[in-house]
Amino acid sequence: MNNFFLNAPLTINISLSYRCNFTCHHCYSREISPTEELTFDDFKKISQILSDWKVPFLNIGGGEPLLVSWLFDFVKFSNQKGLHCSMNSNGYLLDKEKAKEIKKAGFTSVGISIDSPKEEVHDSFRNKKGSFKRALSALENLAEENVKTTVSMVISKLNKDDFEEIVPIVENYKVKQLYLHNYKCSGMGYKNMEKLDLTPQEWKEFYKKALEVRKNNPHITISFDDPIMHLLPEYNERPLVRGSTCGKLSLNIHSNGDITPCGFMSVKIGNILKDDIIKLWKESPVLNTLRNPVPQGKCTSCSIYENCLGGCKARAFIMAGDFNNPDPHCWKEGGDNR
Amino acid sequence: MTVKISDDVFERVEEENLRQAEEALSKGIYEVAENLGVLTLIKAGLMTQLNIMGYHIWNKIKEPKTISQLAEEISKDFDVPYETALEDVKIFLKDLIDSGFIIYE
Repeated sequence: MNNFFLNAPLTINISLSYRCNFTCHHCYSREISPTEELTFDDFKKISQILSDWKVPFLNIGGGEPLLVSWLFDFVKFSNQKGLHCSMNSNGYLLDKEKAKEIKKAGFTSVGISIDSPKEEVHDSFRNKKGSFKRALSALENLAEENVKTTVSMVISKLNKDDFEEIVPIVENYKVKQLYLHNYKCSGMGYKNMEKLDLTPQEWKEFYKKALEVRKNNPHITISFDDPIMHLLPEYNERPLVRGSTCGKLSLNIHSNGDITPCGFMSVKIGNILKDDIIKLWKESPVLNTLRNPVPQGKCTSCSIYENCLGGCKARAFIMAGDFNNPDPHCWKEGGDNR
Repeated sequence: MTVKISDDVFERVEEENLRQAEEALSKGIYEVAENLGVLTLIKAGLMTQLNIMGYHIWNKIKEPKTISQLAEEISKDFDVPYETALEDVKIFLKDLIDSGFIIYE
């Protein structure tokens, strides 16, 4: 079988609001416009649409989801419609009471962002004193309620050399999975790119090291979301979907209902409440471009292009205005040096 | 020893693909049917898709059974010799067992 195609995405990333209690240096959404927010009733309609479309997983981001007053009612409603809901939070507002509400609402898991094993680095990066301690406290509160937790770390120059020290810390809080996210040059991430983003060679070294860390810590799942990792011979995962999964496995819905392939791309393909989502999924020229990449630049002479299909399309688009441009994080010079 | 579907597998029928595959089979266009993913399976971050033949076998494992029982059923359903069905079933199960979608009980 070689004709992989889904009749609907498996995951929808949704932002109920872009309001946030943090002003992080890498935040992709700080610069997002419009910041219009649909109502709770509108979002219930969206859940119904997604449920009818047989989308199984709904991941709530933002903004800080815990600032949305009807968050738990929304999750309860979505659960009733058969959606499995998770969320990403900075954890600052996640006290014992909130953890109980999260459990009651039926979240399948909650991701907490921690961007350094060092308290002072995390607090500075997140621009909020006390945020590291609060993030750990959130994990503790969730563990007490037996809510599955994950930790998300965005890799930057600030943590590339000591990221592995987070593993023993989060293991103390029964964290099941650690996501090491690649840096996205989007929003504030674009503005602070020079200061925070790694060079292509540094990305290569980071991933090599991260794979070693993963090998040495089998009791926690360490996950990545960067298609250029497939350039490394030692990364032997061969997923069903090659390259970027945006627009192939997932879509992103903004707080005003606009749909983009992922949260880091500003290219709108439609609006969930105004357009026929099934038709968009099948016929959107943007999605079809993402699903049928054409190598450009150094990718044309790359013998392992099929492994990564040009890497992250959001980064390529942001930096070059073309999805097919080589991923700016790619360390290959062209030719076959891996 | 029986085989069964692991409890933590999420599955979704790709209904449009299934309709297309059934239509292709009814017209005898086997290559089209073989190449359409009609069932998406997810387990702990792993994902795979089955074509219509795999989907047929998958549905039979909803009730745990031995590999020989499964082969007997497939042999009857598709009117193929038992030995051929047994080989096909073993090939079908291998990857799914290796990746934990199906387990021995």
